[in-house]
Amino acid sequence: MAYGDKVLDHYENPRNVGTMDKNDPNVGTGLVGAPACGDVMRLQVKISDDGKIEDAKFKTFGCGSAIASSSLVTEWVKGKNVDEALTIKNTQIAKELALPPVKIHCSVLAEDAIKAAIADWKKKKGLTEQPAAAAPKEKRVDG
Amino acid sequence: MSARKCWSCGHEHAAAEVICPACGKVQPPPPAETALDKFALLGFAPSFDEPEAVDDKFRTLSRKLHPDRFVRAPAQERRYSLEQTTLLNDAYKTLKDPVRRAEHLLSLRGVRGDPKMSPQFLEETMEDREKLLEAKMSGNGVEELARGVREKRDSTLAEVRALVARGGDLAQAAELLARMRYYARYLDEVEGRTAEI
Repeated sequence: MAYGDKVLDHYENPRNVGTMDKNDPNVGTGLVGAPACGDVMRLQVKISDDGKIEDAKFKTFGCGSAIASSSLVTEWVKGKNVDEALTIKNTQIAKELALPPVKIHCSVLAEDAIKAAIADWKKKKGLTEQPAAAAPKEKRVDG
Repeated sequence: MSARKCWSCGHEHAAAEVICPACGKVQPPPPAETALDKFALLGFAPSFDEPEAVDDKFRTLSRKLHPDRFVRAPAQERRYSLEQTTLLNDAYKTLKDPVRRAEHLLSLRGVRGDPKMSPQFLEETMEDREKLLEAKMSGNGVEELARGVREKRDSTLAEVRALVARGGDLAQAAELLARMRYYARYLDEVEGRTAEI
C-alpha cells in the first residue's frame, strides 16, 4: 500500500515528541485510545493566559498514521488560539496526510486528543461551558 | 430459529443449515444485514469457551462446502459454495481465538460498538509502553515487563469469563475485552512485530 510522503516524513521525523508536566495549571492533557487497534495517544498543550497555544507535545504508541496525525496536529496548533485549535477537523488531517480509508480513525484520534487536551485545560481554569460541546464523541478522556 | 426454503428443491429447513437436508444443495449465505451467529454456523450454542471438537466440525463442513467440489455445479451453487466457505473460515477463526470468540458472544447479546476506555486504563497503558521503550533501549527488563502484561492479559480474560458466567454487566465485559487488544499490541512490540504504517 502506498502512503503519502507526508505520513512517512512525520513518522520518521516526528515533531514535538515529548511530555509536559500535567500538573502545570497552564498545561492541558488529552489522553485517548483506539480500542480497535490498541493505539494510545497523549497530546499536551501549554496555553498562555490569553488563550494562545505556546507549545504542544505528543507521545503516541501506535501505527505510523497515528504518529503522523498527532505530530501534524502539534505543528498546526502551535501559535493558534484555543478557539482556532478547536476547529481542526479530522478530515483536514486525513487530507493533509493523504491517509487511506482504513487509517481515517487515526486522524479521528488526533482530533479527539487535541479537543480533550483543551477541555482539560479549560477544566483546570474553570472555563468549562457546556461540557457536551467540548467533548469530542466517544473516546474523549479527561486527564 | 427461523426456517427458510431451499432455492433448489423448495424443502423447508432451519435457516442455520448450510446444506439442504433434502437435496444436498449448498444454500445461500444469510442476507448481509442479518446478524450472523458464528457459533450456529458451525452447529454450536454460543459459549465463552472453545466449543468441543470445533476443529472436526470445521473440517467436515469445510470439505462439504469446498468450491473444488462444485466446479461442475451451476454458477449459482458455485457462488454459494464460495460465499459459505468464506463465512465458515471466518467463523472458525473467531471461534478459535479466545478474544474474538468472547467479543462475538457479547455482540450476540447485544453489546455493540467501541467501548470507552477508562482514563485510568489509558494512563496505565501509556506508562507501560513508556517503560517498555526504556527497557528496550537499555536492553534489559523487557522479558520481565512482558511477563507482567501476559499476566494482566490472562487475568483480564478470566475476569471476563466470570462476568459473563454470572450474567454481569456486559458493557464492562466489553471494556475488559478491549483491553486485550492493548495487551496484544504491547506483546507485539515486545516481540519486535512493528505495527503497519
